[in-house]
Amino acid sequence: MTRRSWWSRPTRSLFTLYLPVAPFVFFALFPLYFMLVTSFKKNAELYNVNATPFFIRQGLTLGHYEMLSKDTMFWSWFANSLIVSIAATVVSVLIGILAAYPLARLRFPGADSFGVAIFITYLVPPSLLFLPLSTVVNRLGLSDTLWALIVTYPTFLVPFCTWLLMGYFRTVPKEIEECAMLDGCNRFQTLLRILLPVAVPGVICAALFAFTLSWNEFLYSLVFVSPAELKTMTVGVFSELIRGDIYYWGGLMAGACIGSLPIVVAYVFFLDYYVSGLTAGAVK
Amino acid sequence: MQLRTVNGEVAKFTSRGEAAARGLSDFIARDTSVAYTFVAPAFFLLLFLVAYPFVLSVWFSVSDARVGETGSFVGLANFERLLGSDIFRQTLKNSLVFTSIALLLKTVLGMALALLLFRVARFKRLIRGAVLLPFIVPTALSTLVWWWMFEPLYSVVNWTLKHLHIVNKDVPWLPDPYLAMFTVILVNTWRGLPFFAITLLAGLVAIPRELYEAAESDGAGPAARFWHVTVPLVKPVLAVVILFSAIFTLADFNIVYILTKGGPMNMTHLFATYSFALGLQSGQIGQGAAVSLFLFPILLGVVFTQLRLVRKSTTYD
Amino acid sequence: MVNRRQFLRVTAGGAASVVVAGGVPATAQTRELTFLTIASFVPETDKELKRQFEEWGAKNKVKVRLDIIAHLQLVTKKASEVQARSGHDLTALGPGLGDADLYFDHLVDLNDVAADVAPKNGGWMNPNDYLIRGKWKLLPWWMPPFPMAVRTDLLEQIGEKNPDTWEDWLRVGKKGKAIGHPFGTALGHSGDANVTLLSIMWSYGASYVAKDGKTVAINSKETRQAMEFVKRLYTEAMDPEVLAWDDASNNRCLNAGKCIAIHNPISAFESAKRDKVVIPGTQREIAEVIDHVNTPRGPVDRKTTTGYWCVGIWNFAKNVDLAKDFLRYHFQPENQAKWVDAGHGFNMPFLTNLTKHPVYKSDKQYRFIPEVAKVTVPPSWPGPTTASSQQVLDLYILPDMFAQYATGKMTVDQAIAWAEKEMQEIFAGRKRKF
Repeated sequence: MTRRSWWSRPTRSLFTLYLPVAPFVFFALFPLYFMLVTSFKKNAELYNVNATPFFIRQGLTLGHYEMLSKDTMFWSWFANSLIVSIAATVVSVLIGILAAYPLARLRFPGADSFGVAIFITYLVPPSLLFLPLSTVVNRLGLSDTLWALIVTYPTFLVPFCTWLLMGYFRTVPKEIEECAMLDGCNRFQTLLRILLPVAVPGVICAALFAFTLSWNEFLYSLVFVSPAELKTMTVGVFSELIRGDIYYWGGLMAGACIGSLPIVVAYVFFLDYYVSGLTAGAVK
Repeated sequence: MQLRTVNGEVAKFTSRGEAAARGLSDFIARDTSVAYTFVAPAFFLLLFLVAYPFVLSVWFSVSDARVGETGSFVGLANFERLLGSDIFRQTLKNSLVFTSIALLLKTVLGMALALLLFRVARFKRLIRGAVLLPFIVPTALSTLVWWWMFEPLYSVVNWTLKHLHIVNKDVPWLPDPYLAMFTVILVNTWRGLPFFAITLLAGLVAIPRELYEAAESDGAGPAARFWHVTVPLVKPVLAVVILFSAIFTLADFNIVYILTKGGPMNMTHLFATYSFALGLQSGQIGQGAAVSLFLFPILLGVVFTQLRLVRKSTTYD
Repeated sequence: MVNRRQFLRVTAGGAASVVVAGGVPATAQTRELTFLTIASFVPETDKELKRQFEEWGAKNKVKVRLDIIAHLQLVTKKASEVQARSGHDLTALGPGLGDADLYFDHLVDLNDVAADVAPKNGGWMNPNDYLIRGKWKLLPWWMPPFPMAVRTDLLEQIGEKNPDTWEDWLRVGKKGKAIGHPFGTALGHSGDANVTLLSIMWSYGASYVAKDGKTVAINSKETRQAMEFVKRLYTEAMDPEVLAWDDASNNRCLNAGKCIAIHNPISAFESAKRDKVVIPGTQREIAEVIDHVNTPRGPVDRKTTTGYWCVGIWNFAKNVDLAKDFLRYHFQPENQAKWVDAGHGFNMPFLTNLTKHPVYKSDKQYRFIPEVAKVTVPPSWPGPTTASSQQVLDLYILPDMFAQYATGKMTVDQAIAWAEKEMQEIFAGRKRKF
């Protein structure tokens, strides 16, 4: 990113750039910092009104993390969330790729309506949809299994993935595909061998998005899966650590911290892809 | 080796001329069946798992269905009853205030942040990652953190304000109706800002640098460049982001449910939370569905117009 | 062809997953029993219940599974299970008997189990309260009685002794607020708010529904008296934060050393003991200076209510008889006694003999609990519990009504009129059968 020379003086950029950015970063990070600090605080200090909330004065404790590990089935829930999120992401991205290709490249009757119909699915809130959906899930015999989630999550993942990939595919020059097809490739091979390798950033972006939404999902997981060992992480943490009118804050925060780690790690590695994937997908 | 095409015909290695001569209609016909096959999984998924429950939901809203009972058709009676209910009218007001202010904040702050992120060179990844975090952390849990931050007794916000001597007493963030709405909007903005910022950033990245350089050589200052180059080219992205965000913000459930449960005195009830209280807790699914679907016709209209606008402006590019 | 193959693979995979997930309906009468319950305040209660369930299962060669969810999520689960006509066999219901009316057509009649269980336990406390439309559609399982929890040291400090009426407590709160320790009771969207405000209303002779269970009775002179009292309580003895309190807030207020008294079950005290919370600025444990006394009296009466947690059997359960058998097992005196023990007296059954359980003598704190239980009635008193009476609670109409007047947002007449209208809508809506 080259800029005019007078911008690149370090002090000037400090004031006009990094200083204004600081409040945003602070605003974004503070609650998470607080989450982290709380998860290491001893209960006595946590519930002491006079204690400073920002720091830990009375000693760090791993007690909350221990409690989470030993007294709850946290790691099972964590694994469940991982399994469901990865599977749902894979399914959604695949379906999204398959659907995005014709919508981006081919003309066929019903293309426009289908494109719009995809958006409309977002207009019906899950807080209403889940009730009739639970009947469907039941009839399919998927109740109380992780498959219920793997099958229902794509309902809110596929539309966004499709839209994103649609935009991304449109940015790839048509000529490459046409060459391949004149050489005898059919559409599917074109998609697989020509388009996808070029569209990797878009696919990664869609996958990250899908993974995040799956990981955060709460309602369907609560309703469709009951057995303790099959719960996903957010539901499990809520059920075990909120009992009647007692909230186990330390444990809740510890759960939130560990629970955020996988996605944070994923984003750290793929952030650049995420932005460039959005670039083409969102803009075009 | 024979290559099989979609329709099972053996691809003939013909000359270019012959291929072209085969005709447009042939090409299109093959395309259509390919298209339908490709789109099929998505189509069936959405048909069975979204369209069918959606139709059922619509049925609920025009019936007196209770949980477990199918109920009978009542026309628009549920909607009429809602319009006459004080709590619902308050919910409507709340939802509009909440969504419009949150969207405004997210747009303005998102644009500002995107512009800043665009120029950040050092620690680029770190800063972008940090800014993205609120969006990544599970909502249910991060909202709990916010609640703890505003909880009357232990509020770190109040603690800070008191220690900085900005206020003398605890500010009633959650008990006061207007402050409660402020808090709910604040948390929604916190969570939604990354989405705006990063998507707008992507939009900014896509603007060809030559346009800026041309404008500058024409004598345009930073503000003029912003208004005449950046804004028009970012509009399509902005439109889509606002559309998505509006839909998700209007349907928000978690934040209000965890922070205020719709109180105090119903001043923060949104459609989703009121629908929950009415439909699920009281078993009046018909009314709950009516609340949820109340804005559906309007939203549908918004989606159509937005998409048409976006389609028009992108073909422009 | 390649893409058709792809398509088939997807659908075949879907079908396979159905089979793999055991979606083939069980035609044979498999002996399995599932029970959905809420996470108990005292974790040991859950463990004891699980132990009993597994013990019974082993004896009867039944595969059992106990699933636990947070109480706030029970409502969602209930609705989806009934909607899908499939789910658990036994289910917790509540808080409130209203579920029996709401899900009347989906619950199994439990008249026989109720009758079997009663004799050895000294009978049910108030059997008529638990009948819904004249039937036992659920068994009332446990309740947390609501005494008044008070800081004895602060009470001494302000020179008060043995407050017993609501007026006494207002005076206590007023003096306490002057030294930075106000009274605290929720006026927001929480279960606690419903409970305390109903206690106050009944103390003045008011109620929200009449004995016939259908007429809205909120608009009365007695209600106005209760409203006046609460307004004074709010302005003179409490802090505005109570408008946003949820069920846990009053616990926190007491344990943080702020509130001088709260109307709450012993849960606050228990967690203070467990976390060894100290009085701010000292090293003294706050649990030592908390006492629990009887729920207050008003000019007309002493009455209170609480969350009635119940258990029922869905009529789409696969093994109704097995479920009934387990209920009989769990409600045997010895098992009930063990279960109450595990809960340290927090969860009190509705069986007369259990109110004499030794746990209530084990700690001076619990001495009033049986007394409170005696004056506890369902929220719809004097009417029977119905889905409508429950809905009034679920929508927090009463806390809103009181709050609107207490904060001055509405006049007393406006507030009562608003509440009356909302309640009439609710009761009318249920009566209408299209």
